[in-house]
Amino acid sequence: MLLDYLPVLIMAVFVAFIATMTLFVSSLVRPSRPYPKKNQPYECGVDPIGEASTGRIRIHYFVIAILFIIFDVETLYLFPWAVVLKEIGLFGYIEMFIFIFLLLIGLIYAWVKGALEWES
Amino acid sequence: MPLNIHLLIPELVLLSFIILMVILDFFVRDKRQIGVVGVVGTVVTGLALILVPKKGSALMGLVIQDPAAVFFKFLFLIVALSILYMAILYDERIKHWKGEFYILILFAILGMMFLASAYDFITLFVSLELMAVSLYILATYMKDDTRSIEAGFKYLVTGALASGFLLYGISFLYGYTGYTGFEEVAGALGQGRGGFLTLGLFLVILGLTFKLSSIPFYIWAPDVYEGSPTPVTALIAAGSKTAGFVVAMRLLFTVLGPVKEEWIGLVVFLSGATILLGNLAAMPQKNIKRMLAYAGIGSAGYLLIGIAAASILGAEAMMFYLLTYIFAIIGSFLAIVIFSRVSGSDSIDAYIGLSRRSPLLAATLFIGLLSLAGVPPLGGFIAKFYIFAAAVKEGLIGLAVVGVVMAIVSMYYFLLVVKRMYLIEPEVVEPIELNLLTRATLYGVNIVTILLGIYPGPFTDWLMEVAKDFF
Amino acid sequence: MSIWLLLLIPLIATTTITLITRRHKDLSSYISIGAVVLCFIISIKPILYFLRNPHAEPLEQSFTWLNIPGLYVEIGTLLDPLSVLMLFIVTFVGSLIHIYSRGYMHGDPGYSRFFACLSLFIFAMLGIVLANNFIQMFIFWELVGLASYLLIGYYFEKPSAADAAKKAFLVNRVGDFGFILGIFVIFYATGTFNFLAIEKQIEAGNVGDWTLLLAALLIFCGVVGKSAQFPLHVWLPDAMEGPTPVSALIHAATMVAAGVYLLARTAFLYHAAPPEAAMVVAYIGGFTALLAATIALAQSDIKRVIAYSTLASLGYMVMAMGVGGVSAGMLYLTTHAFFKALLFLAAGSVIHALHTNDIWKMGGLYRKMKITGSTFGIGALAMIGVFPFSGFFAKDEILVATLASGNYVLFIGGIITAFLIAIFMSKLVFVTFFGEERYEGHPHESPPVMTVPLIILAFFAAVSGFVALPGLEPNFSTYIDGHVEGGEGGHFVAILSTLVVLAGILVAWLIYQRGFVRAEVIANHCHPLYRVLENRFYIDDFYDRVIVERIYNGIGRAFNFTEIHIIIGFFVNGSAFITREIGKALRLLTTGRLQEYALLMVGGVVILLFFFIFG
Repeated sequence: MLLDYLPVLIMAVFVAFIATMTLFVSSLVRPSRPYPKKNQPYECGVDPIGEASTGRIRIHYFVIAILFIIFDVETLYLFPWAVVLKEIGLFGYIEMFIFIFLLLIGLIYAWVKGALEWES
Repeated sequence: MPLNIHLLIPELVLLSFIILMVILDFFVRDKRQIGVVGVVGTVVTGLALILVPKKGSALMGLVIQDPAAVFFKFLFLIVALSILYMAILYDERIKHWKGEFYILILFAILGMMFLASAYDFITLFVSLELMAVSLYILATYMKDDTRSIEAGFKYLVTGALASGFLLYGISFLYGYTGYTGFEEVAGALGQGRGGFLTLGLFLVILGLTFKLSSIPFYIWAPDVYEGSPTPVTALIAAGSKTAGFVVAMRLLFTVLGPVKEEWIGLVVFLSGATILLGNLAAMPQKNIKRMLAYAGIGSAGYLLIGIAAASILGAEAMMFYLLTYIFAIIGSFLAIVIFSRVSGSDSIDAYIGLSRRSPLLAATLFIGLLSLAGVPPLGGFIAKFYIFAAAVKEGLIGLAVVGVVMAIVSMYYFLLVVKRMYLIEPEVVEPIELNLLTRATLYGVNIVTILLGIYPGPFTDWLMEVAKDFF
Repeated sequence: MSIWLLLLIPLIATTTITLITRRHKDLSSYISIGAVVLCFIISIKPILYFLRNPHAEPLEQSFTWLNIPGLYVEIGTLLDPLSVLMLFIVTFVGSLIHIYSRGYMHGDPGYSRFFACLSLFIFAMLGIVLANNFIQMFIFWELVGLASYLLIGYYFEKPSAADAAKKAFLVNRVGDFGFILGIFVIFYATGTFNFLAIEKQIEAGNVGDWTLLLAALLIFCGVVGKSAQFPLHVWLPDAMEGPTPVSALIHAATMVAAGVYLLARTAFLYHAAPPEAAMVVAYIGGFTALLAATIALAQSDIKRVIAYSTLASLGYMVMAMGVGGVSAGMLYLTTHAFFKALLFLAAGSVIHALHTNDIWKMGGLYRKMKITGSTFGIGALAMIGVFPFSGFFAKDEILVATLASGNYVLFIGGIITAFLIAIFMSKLVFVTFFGEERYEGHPHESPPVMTVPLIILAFFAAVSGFVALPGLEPNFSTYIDGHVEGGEGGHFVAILSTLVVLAGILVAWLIYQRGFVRAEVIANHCHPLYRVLENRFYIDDFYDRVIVERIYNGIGRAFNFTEIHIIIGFFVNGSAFITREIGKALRLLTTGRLQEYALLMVGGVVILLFFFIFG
């Protein structure tokens, strides 16, 4: 029973091994010339504020990310729908438009409520 | 298996109204009107629920409709109505995103309605999260109040943790049986059992205890109850808990019924420990919402007795208990919302002399609390009686004894409030004015609670039929 | 169907008054009076039915209230000669007292509240009378307790009234605790709450002797509480703090008689149980009667004297039940309802006129209040039991039944009680209505709304005893029992008791009217005894000092009283303390720190999984 999960374990060990090895090997071969600007974490071109280790990020990134994911999922959903459109017929066709309509209302909502404004 | 979309018409109606509310929110200035639209939507959904077929399966077996599901959906709609009404009363204290308050309440209710019908672990999880995420936001609603933020944050983190356990358990069950549908899992369970099944099972049960607010995931309840806006507290207390129990009943009775011996020991332990913990910890509380949180933990323990009984009588007892519990909670929280508008405090000491200031308000809280305590002739008494009867019938004498003793203990902390309301002279004697609609609502809730206590016959007969669906 | 209306109408009346017509005093009183009169009219039909067919089968109607496997509770009505008789008493006397109250309570600020409570009481009392099972009876039993509590504490701004209400409530709970245990014993033994079904089971011999004895004694606890028998009699005299119509209706005519009714209803139980059960009942009753009659000698509050006379009467009735004289007891209950209600209402009329309860501040009132005085006189004669007034027949039957049962001690006690009753009742009449005028102000006769009920009651108090005449068919005892009770020694008892009460009246006349021996002289001569009587044998003080103070203050635990109170003190106070401390400790778990919450949750899961999977 437990043996069935052995491949999972092997997989996990393998992944961990590859990841650490990559980092380790590249640290050996790459040139290392650090200066303050270079050591800053990259945050979409915005100057970071405070320590990164305290876990503070600007909440707005989060909102944008969620919006992005929603439309990402929509696209993901549209592809298989387009492929089988002929088989599912009019019902599926209308259904997708309801889905898009709902998303549209969501987008309008986010827009009206100012979720897309960067400066508040 | 067919789609049978028509079985979901009530939910679709409610969803349409929610979308309508979102659109209206762009134009309407006085956001209370959105709440009124929500009330209309709830009523229309209720009408649709009356007309919809009471038996069947929809969305390729992802959801089912049976009398039990319909019963719980009605309960959720009653909760929705009263919470919306409370929210309208509470409107002036909400500073930001007023319209969304009503919308999110109905989203949570929608999640609960789907939970009542869930017949697949995927449906279960998605609707559970629909409800939970709405509640996380609602709990944090008072952005300027640190206690509200704290409550919402704690709720979110502990909730995510619990969801993790639930999902982990589901994945074990799936891994073991290869299905996510309840029926298929039930079928596969019959063939054999192993360590991973038990592990998965237990993780699912323990994950669900977050919604029930019982041991081991009870710890969020006091902080969240205290910090959340009061209508949200009521929604969590009445709605979320009921939804949790619907799922627990559907899962444990219908799906895991065949492997009853596996989980009964755990449920018995959880039940006894939760009853003890909730009732004992409620005693030293100074804040009425916090006290009700612990009382709610105690109630979860009593309801778990019904699960431990794992019989038709147990299921019936639980449904009757939830029915009376919801009305008691609604009554108590209506009184608390209305009173806190005047006094601005939820401290138990603020209730001193309430009977002089507003006899109706005091009577409502009195009836609600005593029904929770299980005092005859109120509904809560019959409910507890039923629960104990179910326990005794299944040989769970010890559990019944703990329950009875703790029911007596619970009288102590409920009567502390009663004592303040009735026996201590207030410093402020200014009467609290209630408008006609509020008075009518309070009377209605009280009458139902008393009616459930003095003439439960029709309800119990009806629930007896409904309860059979679980097995 | 019409039977259910009896319960519905007063209930509707009380809810209507509390919810809607509270502000309209007159309307409220009319609703309340209308409700009780309507009940009286409705109850005429069953009364006539059973008068025509005294041997008819009981009529039972019921519907399911609660039905779960192993427990079936119904709500039902049971009509038989017994309940119909009570129905008549409650609705008829109730109607008169409602009407009287309209006059007596005139101008009181809580007028509507008073009538709402009265209607609630009528509802609850009819519920007891009509109950066909123990559970229903117990529920309504508690409801009359509630109504009584509300009405005793009617003048709640007066501390003594509030205390009296609390006392009545608490003392009754002690009795009711026994009652409910008794009900459970019966249910455990027979599996049903229904009176008729229980009777069948017991007659079939399905219940053991010890169970019967236990059940009988426990149920008697309820009677002791509600009918104010020794040692729980202390609440009744204090209950006189309530308005006088309430004293008449609840604390004389009907509610306190509910205990006697319960004994009659469950007579089969005491019949089948070992004789010790009935013995306890009889002796408690007889002792209460004697005790109360003695105490009454030294009281000077007009309502208190009547209250103690009520205690004596209740003692008589309970004694009758104990010696097996069900019809004798019920006859006394019936006549007592009339003459005691009459005495209270007449006393109320006097109080209404003078605004004092002290008999030494009255005197010579007969000249000013002819109707009140003469009706009071009739009531007193009935209470004393002078032929041909109703009390004579009732008392006579009880004494005959006692003699027939062979309990000579009780019989002698009963005779002495009759003598004492004669003394203090005549004293009351002489001191209040005759002799010199010691009152202040100008008393005048009460309005017709008060005097008409008095006259009607006086008529019944005078003549209602004739229903027990041996020649009548059906007469009272055939109506209740279906057969005539033992007439052994009937003439002897009648003559003896008449002589005794005449002697009593003579003594009172010599002392209080002629001044042959001055009352103060007696009081001084027998000073210690008089003090003991005046202080009601110190029983109240005993309870106050030993039980109330100790438990209330939680200091000493009444070690020298009884073990029961040690147990209550120890377990109740002790366990409350322990549970509170556990509660505080548990609260510490909820630290408020999220990390610890998460740790607790995960830790809990791990521990539970460990125990339930590997354990």
